Amino acid sequence: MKHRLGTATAIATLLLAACQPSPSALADRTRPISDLQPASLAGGERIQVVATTTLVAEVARIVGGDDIALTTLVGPGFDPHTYEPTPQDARALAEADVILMNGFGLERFLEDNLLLAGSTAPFIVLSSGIEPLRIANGSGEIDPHVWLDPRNVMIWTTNVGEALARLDPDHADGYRQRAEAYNLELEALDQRASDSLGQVPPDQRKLVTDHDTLGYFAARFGFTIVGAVIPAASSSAEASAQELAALEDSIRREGVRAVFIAAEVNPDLAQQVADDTGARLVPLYLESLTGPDGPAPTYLALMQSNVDAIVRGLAP
Amino acid sequence: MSPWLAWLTEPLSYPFMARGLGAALTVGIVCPVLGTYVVLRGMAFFGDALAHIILPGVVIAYLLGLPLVSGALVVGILAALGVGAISRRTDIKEDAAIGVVFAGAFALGIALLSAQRSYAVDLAHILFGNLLGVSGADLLLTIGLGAAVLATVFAFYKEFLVLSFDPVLAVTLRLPVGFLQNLLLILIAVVIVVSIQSVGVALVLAMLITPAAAAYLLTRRLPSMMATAAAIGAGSAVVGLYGSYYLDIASGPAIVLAETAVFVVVFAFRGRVARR
Amino acid sequence: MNPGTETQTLPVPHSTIRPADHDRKAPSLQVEGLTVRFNGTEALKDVSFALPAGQRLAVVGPNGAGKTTLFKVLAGILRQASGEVRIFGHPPGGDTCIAYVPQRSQLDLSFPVTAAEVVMMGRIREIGMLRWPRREDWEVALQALERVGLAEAGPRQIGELSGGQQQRVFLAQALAQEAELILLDEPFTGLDYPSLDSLLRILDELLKAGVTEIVSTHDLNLASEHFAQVLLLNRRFIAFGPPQQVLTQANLVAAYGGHVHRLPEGEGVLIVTDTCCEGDETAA
Repeated sequence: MKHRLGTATAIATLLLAACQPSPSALADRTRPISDLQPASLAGGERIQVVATTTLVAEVARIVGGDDIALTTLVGPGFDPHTYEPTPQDARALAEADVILMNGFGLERFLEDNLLLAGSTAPFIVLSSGIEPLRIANGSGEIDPHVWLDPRNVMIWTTNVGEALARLDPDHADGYRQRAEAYNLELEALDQRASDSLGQVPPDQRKLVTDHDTLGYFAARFGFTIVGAVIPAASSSAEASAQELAALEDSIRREGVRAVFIAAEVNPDLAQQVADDTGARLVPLYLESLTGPDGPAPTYLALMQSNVDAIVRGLAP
Repeated sequence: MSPWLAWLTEPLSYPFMARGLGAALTVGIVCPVLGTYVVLRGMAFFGDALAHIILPGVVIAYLLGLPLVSGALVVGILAALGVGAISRRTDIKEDAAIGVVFAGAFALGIALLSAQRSYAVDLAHILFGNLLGVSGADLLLTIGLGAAVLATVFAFYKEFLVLSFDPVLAVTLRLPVGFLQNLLLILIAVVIVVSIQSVGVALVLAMLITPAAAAYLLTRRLPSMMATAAAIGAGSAVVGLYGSYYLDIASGPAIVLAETAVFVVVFAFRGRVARR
Repeated sequence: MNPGTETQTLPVPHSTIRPADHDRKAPSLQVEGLTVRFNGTEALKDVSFALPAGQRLAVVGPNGAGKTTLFKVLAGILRQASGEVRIFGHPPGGDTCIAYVPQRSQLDLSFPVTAAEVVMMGRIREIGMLRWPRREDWEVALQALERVGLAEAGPRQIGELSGGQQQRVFLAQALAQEAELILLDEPFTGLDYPSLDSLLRILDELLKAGVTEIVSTHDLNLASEHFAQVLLLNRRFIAFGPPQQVLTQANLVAAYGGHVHRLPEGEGVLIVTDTCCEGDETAA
């Protein structure tokens, strides 16, 4: 009798332990690209690729072409910082052969063990190889908005090409060629942007945003971050009164002409700050591509639109 | 300028702080006046239920891009009348019925809001207030509604007094009891709506009740109970707002904590006075 | 609404917003075949009696007999299922010549209201909506408090007063209403003898001034000693008339079962109960 009870308890404990998700399920499933093995595909089946954000999906779509089946989690116009996943997302993850993500803490919504429970696919951080920047307010948080520097997206493109080539060797040449071609376009974009932004005079190269989004952009194109309405890497943080006051002081002191806000977030607080200081409120497309009918359906269009808006916003 | 004076005036030099203070003060004065009736008539559960029932109205207005106050007012008034009607029926377990509507409406509000995938921040603002985001128009609306509520309480003071103290007398004296009861419920709904921006749905009950509960321990006359409650509310609004500025905490909860602290102090020192 | 000749003992009534035109020769109260249903059961069945103006009536019966129900119908708070009720010739629910003073226990006496404010409540219709009490209203209220011997108690919170004093404040409220018919629901309950005495004296004076009084009580001896008319109920009409005719052994059994006995004692009658109905039977 005692024996059986002991065994039963032991089995129960083991079962429970097995069912307990480990605290870092996401970290466990993240793989370096070099570890990738070819996916097992039935004849004619394409590899199932899940991209977390529209920016990631854009690169995947271009490099993958018709050889992949692509699903995106955070749809156009939505803010990945505050995204809440759905059961459909869980299913997409379960059926994926690979999941491509931005990394650097952007995908908070993936840190959900229940969401990941059904998936065995590897998670690939596209930003590996990019030098992480910290956000401006000195809290030490890593800024995830790497895609606003076109050279980072070039690194993504190369990474995606490599990853897909390893997963699907039959189409490896196609992936690598498309990756190279896109990188050339990105190079050209980078040059155009640099020229355009060169028009902004030195004393106006100051950026104020709704939250810390333009760190990589500023580093690439020679701007200074004066501050943010919500000085945090995520739009889901709360503004504090003193920080708002300090920001308004900075705006006035530096003569900043515009407050740039991500079109995907609630503009009310930033609007107040702009009104109170006499600055303009300028929406940019920062967190997501728009739908096909919008002004930023592709990454190239997104960057072009933002660059133009910034130049105009900082003009007298 | 003396450092104390600078310390006091510095936050107010920012328009958003001045507006936030204006909204908080208005709410801090008007809520406890209505809250006096809520406390004396044991309507705390009703008040909390009403605040939560209003959530879907706020959410729908938000999703449609309308001013939050409009959606909240419409739903709030309907909810007040509905809950009032439930309370008057003698064949239903009143608190269970109200509880069912309360929880259901609240869930509806959150479900509606969650349909637009990124809702955490906005829900937080609706639940806990967003004093820093009070616009000029918001402030005017808050003050206007607050003044209208106070004027109504003043106009119907003696009728509300009879209704609250002795409802049977109110009927005997042929007062329009149904109208007065509904009017009081509507006033409570209006102040809840007005308070959502300052302290949010989750904490508005505190704005209604805590200063009035403290005042109840301090005075035995109704006019002074209302005045004391309003003073506590106003003072807490100021302290809470300054506290949020200098201590870097959310302003809605700071105000409620200030009010609760006042209550605790009053309770500790006067609560032991026997009241029959 | 002129209650009689001795106007110096009552507040001088002046014209109300709706002057009631009473038929002076009509009985103050006429009830015929009154039946009341409450929550599906019959709370009162087939009650009939008539009370001339300026008289006093005690309503007695066990708990749940329908005394409060009767008062609520008279006050216009409850509607009867069938039967007729006429107060000074009018159905109930019209003007406010009737003051209803309910049982004290149903109020929250810790409410922050003073005795004077409680009395002033009686004048709320006189004052009118959206208006504040005028000086005359305060005078009437203060006179009413004086009438019941509580002139100094005005500023005190109602819960601070003794049970007997509170009862008198509510009586003053009824007076401030300038009522001609006063319904008192168990006013003697829980009072000590001095308070009881005091209350009875005030009621005597009011009676002399022409006010019609209907009082419910558990105390059968008090009813038989102080009231010229008694109405005995037990969810239905049992008897109405002078106490000796109403409080017969047969009627008492019909109302109270076997628990109340009538004993002869000298010139009068002693009524004794052998079980207590909720608190206040005085077995003398």
